[in-house]
Amino acid sequence: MLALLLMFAFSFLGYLIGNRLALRLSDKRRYFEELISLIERLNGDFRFRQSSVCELINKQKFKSELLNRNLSEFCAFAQGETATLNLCSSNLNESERKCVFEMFSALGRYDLDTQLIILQDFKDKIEGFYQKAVVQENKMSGAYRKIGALCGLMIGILTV
Amino acid sequence: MLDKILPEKIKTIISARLDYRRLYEIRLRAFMPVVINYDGKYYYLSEVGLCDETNIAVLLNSEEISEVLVRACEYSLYSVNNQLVNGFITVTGGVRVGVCGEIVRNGNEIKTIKNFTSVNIRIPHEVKGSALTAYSFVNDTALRSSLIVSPPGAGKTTVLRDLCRYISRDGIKNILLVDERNEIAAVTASRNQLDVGTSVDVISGCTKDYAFSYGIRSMRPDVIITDELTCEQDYLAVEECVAAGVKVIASAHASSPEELLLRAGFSKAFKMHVFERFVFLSSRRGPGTYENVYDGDMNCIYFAP
Repeated sequence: MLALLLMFAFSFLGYLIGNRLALRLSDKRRYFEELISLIERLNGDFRFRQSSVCELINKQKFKSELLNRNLSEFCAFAQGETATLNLCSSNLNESERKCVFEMFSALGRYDLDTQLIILQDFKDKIEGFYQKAVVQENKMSGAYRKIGALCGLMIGILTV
Repeated sequence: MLDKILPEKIKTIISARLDYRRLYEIRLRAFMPVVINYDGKYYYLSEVGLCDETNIAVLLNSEEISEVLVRACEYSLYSVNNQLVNGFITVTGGVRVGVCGEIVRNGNEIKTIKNFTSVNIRIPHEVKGSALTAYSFVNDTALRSSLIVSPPGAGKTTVLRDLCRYISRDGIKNILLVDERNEIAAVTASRNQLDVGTSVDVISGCTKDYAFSYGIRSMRPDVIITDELTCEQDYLAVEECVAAGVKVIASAHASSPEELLLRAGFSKAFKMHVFERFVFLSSRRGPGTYENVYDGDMNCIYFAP
């Protein structure tokens, strides 16, 4: 009975680890999804509201913790609280990190028309990342959970 | 605010070696020495502070110049484009950032300025008491329409701001402050950043003729205070206000009555006796040095010592 319980516990633990990895994929997908939505909103706000970027950004709250964090990091930089733009980019690969950094660096540096064109370019790139993240999530999140549970079970069997 | 917009190397030198309160102007030009107006005199800025030699002066590249401007508008260049096409933006605290660069046109219309080559940062000063002499002439027996005249950088705006405070303090009068460049009161988030007194209505960011007619209709002012009359249209707007019974106190660029008479629109206003007092300032002994004061017929009523 104890052996069965131990095997179940290890299997469950493995599932939790797999689930955590799967959630990272969901976070990434959500990050890009909400980043695209932010760009769309900024496109309209830049055109019609003409407030400062920070004022526009501060009013937005997202589910993605990473995006909220990036927005506060950008505002701190734009308001002169930090000397350089430091963006937390855990969970992103090199090309994604570079694109996001360049997008934030380009915010508010141009006249309206140029700014809108630049934002559209970044939106196109980010949509590409989003598509990849969706495919990755669909393909891998179930697999991570199964692999986690199976590995847990194996460790459990070996331990018993 | 200066802390937030200046490049790190300039900020470090100024903080370590200079006194912000004595700083009037910072002129940044791409690949040229940084020039500082300190106590009314121009110097180059070097690692060791102020100097007269260009070979040790600090240089900035064009990217650093752009960065100053982008920081000044809090990374929202698109939102200040309307100001930018007039050649300057006013940032929090009334700091005026003038720019030079490549003008982008769409037909006859100026669309924007890009590839910035020069930035001129002018720092406003609140010198309480600086308008005492002017006030004694502007308000001797009654409040008089007056023109504060000086070359650029001699303290006109500072004196106007202080004059506004004096008039406001001396009994309740409705003062309409037409702050076209937003540097007299420096309104940010509906709040005056600089002290202009208590009974003052501030209208900023619009042309004088619009502000005058709109202001008279909507606010019924006793006196209008405004900065820098530059063209015929401005003098015409003043004439209409004076004709409507509203006193106008304004400023203009010139260093002598002869120069003033050469200014577009002024000679007509002079013939019509629109102004009753002309107060001349200079930087002879630092910004805000009083020169002669004239009455409406250009008779000198105060000789500078």
